[in-house]
Amino acid sequence: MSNLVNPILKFEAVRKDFGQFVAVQPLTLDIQAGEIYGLIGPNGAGKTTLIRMACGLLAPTSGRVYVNGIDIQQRAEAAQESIGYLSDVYALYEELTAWEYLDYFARAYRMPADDIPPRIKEVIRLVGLEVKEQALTKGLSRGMRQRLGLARAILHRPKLLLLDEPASGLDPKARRDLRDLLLMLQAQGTTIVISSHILAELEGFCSRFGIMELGRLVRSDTVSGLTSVTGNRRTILLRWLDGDVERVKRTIERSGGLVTAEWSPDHALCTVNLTEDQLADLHAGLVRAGVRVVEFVEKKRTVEDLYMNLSRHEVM
Amino acid sequence: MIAIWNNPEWMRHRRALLRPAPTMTIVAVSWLLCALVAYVDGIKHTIMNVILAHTIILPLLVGSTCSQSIMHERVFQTFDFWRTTRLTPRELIAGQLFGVPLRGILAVISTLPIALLSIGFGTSPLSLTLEYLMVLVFCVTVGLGGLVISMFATSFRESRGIAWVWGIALVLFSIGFALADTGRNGFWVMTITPYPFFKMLELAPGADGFSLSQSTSLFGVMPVPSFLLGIVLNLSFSGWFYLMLSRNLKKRAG
Repeated sequence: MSNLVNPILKFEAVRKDFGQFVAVQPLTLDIQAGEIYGLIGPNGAGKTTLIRMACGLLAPTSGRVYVNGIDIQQRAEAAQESIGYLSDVYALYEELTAWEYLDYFARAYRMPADDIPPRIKEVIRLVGLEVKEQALTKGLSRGMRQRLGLARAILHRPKLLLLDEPASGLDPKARRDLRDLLLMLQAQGTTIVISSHILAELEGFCSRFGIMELGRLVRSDTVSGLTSVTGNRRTILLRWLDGDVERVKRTIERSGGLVTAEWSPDHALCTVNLTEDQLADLHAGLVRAGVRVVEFVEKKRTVEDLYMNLSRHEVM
Repeated sequence: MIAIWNNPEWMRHRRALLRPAPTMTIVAVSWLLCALVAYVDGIKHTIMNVILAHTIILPLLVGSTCSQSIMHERVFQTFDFWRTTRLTPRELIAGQLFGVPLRGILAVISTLPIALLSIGFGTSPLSLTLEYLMVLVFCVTVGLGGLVISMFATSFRESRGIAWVWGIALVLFSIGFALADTGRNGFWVMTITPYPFFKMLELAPGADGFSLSQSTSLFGVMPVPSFLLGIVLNLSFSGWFYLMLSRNLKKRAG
């Protein structure tokens, strides 16, 4: 990642210890302006610790964190101007209305007084909380609380948005809305770092992924970069009519690329190690062998599949 | 530094604590209690009781609410908000100190006109001003001390426990002073509280303000003006508490 020229967030040999426990092992990572960077890994992998160091809430034991070129240890307040942070807890000021809550933060971020009311209106509309604008936050549902938290994080137009498990607890529609909102913010030039242990949440809209485990950044790359590591390993869903499962088995085994398979009388889920050409030959071979193929589908590799392939499956 | 009424932290507490219904309730209950006391004891006694209530209850309210406030932010995980915004420690401290006990402050302000009536019964305006100045500086000391407790306590139970110890110490302080009968030659440390000044006000309601300002306490063997001593003691403690707070409030966890 050292070839990236304009990192808005830079971790330089950052390490974090809590007593004897090493929460983040020495880690170097650049995140470039305009990216959506997905930080994935199981609970306890060190994602939250890394994000809290990035926004200046935790001091690294060693190493440096730079936000927009500013060393956050040296000039925390200057660096924090560029940061919007949403933690993994739904903490709000319970006795304030949604509007008052955002007004508090607008003033705390030193936004110009004239800009505050229209900006609050704008972010409330963006997160879809118009009808709850004057409601006390303690009466909001979990999803609404999370949306209000997000409104707070983007209120002062930060260049870097750090979101720790933002989609947990959201219903499917709210997740889709969150994804659309993040893509819109990215289009406006905001860099987003988003963590999750539910990999499906991040798939499809992150520019790059970092896989963390046991405080280590196991790998950091684009989806295609991660895919290339797994080579030609593919999962095929195969379904046939009036079939002889043994004939199907023999044909696939002859291809030489079978890794694992789950067999049923009329369908199979096979993991094979074949190029696209060899896959086409396998399909033709099945037809030639008289198998009446009704479905021959390469199951799309999800980020979760990639994660399972890449991570070392260590458990904290 | 921005004015307190524009301080976001203070505004947050004002909005949360002084919505119309509780505000009207506090004012109504305060006046109702004063009316009841006046009915039983007469106006003159009521006036002195109101001043005494302000002298005792306001510091206790400020101390008890402030001693929970930062712990409350930590327990409800809103503490990080402070550390990711551009609010300065000074603004946060001022907002907390004058915002957290706002309901108590409102109760005092709403009954302050009753205390002012004492001037009509011979209390000098200067004496009354000095008394309330002492209440104010003592509240600042107690409030800052409470904030320090709530910042360093590790649990609600701990901060509540320490606050209770503070409260009981204050009550014992007051009783000790009452037994000593007068602050003129009393234990000098007591001048940190406004109670000696209240006692003097009560014992000599007709005295001019200068007699109160010039009353002395023995500091060792040396007589020192009580008022000056009280201000110095309060400023010393407040300054110390303030430094502890301002250096740690936005400090990152190690």
